[in-house]
Amino acid sequence: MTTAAEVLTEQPAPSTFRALRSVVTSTGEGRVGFTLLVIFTLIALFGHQLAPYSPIAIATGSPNSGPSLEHLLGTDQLGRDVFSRILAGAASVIVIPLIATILTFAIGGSIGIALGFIGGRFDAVGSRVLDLFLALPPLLVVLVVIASLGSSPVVIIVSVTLVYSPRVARVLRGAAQGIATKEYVQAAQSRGEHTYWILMRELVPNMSSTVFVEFAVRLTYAIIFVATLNFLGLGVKPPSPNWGAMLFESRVTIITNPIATIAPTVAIGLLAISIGLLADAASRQFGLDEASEILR
Amino acid sequence: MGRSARFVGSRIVFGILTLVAISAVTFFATDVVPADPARVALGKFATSEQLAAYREDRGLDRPVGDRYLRWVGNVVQGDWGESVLSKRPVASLIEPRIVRSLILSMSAMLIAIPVAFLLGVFSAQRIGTRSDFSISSTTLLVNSLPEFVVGIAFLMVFAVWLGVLPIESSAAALGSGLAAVRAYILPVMTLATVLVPYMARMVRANMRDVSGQPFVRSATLRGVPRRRLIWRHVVPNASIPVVNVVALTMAELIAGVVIIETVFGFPGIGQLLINSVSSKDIPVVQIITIIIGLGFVILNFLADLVVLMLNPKLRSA
Repeated sequence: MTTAAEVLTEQPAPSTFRALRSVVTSTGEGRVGFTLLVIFTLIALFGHQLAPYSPIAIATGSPNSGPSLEHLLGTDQLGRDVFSRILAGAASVIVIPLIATILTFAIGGSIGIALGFIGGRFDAVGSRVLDLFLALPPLLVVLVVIASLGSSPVVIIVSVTLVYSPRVARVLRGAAQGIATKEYVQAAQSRGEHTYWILMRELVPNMSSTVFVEFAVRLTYAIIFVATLNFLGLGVKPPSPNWGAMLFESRVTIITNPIATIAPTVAIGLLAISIGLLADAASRQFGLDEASEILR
Repeated sequence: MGRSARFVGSRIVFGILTLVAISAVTFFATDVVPADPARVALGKFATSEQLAAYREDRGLDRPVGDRYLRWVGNVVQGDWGESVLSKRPVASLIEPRIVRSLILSMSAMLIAIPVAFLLGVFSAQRIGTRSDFSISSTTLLVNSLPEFVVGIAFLMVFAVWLGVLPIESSAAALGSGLAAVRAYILPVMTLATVLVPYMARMVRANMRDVSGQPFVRSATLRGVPRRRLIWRHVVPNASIPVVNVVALTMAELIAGVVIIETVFGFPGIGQLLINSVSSKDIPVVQIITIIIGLGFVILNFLADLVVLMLNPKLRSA
């Protein structure tokens, strides 16, 4: 016999894939953002091979020369080809923030879901601790960590994960709490289903839209954050190509050779905009609107 | 105890806890330093006896908890130690810079808050129109740009192409009169620009939510004039979450000051922080972190007080 509660639990979760596809195809923002993102992903994957010169080879032409056929974006103060450095630098701009964001969701997400799902005193105490961590200014914490441990990729990934985890935890806690009180979860609980299955079959599928939007928002901030660290001279070590680090190095020649500064500026700007557009289109599609903007 | 007193009390406790957390994170993160302060101060060729003597002299051989309390005591009493790098007292390094950073950040806030408010109110009244769309998409674009990208874009336009403003802001320290004032313009403009979008979007969202409430419709039906409706009924009710947003913007303000000072070579506390982080000048990093943390906590507390004044529910005993 099928009870009404079971009918409720049997309802398929709304297809996130289909929703995402319509985000990308039906909105102008989504189309532009997605196209840009695909281009950047291709550059990150194949940029190194496509680069006409070695990104770290110096004196490929005369230093600080403007754009020409040999050097599409000119050369920097050491005569390195700016175009090659842009192509080869994409990977480090994207990969480190991506790893940090995935780790953030693994750690912060588990904490948040646990708080929201278990609730009660555990949630009350845990949320207070989260509030305290949320009150710490992210850049300040990361700078302190870098001051003591130096700025290897591992340090940057760990410190970004550290400051973003409480933020993700807060957002996913809210989402999990909203779902944990729904009838279909209660029905599953009263049927005696194992907590693991309740999490996997009821909670996670219904949170996927929130998770997706939050992931896009968080990835944007992580990319900006890591690029900023590189710009401040606290990221990858020269001569490795990285857009933020390129700006850090080329800023002194901003008058004599503006292209070497403009190129990485535009690249970072477009990358940040593409993910920002996708996040905005998705949050509209899922009806989350400005809600996801509240926690930076 | 009245409700408002309890509210203020809980915010003060939270502020103190935040400061304790910031100082603890700072101290413990910088205390487990692989970059041994004794080694940094005495250089590569110091003997192990010299290093041990330096550590004993500075109390570096005591247990961590002990040193944290002593350190907090010293900071509170104004004994801020000296820079490992320049050997000058940290206070003398920070003092001239902090005033400039305060002028920079406060003028940016004074510009950004009203601009964001007006933009938000303006576009909330025109939701769905072309002007709302262009404001919304501009704020979205600027909001997703890193601070230094905005800064360099301004630098390109106003200092390199138009040549009307100085390319570097060190005159804020050395120059006098007009030169010093001009040194502030680009950093203030950039900081204000990066602060506006988020606030404007939140004002718009709150205005839109409040406009849909029954009391607004009832006021409309009573024939309250539009201008009065907006400024006397909608705006005050939409302001409370906005003040919270302004408070949330404080963390961004701090990051903005640090980054923008570096973009423009502005001789403020943020530039000193970045330089000290690069050179692992731990005492300077510690003190600047505490000072910025203190400013952050105070500003947040002030924002809470404004919320209290605006929210009658919390005000009544």
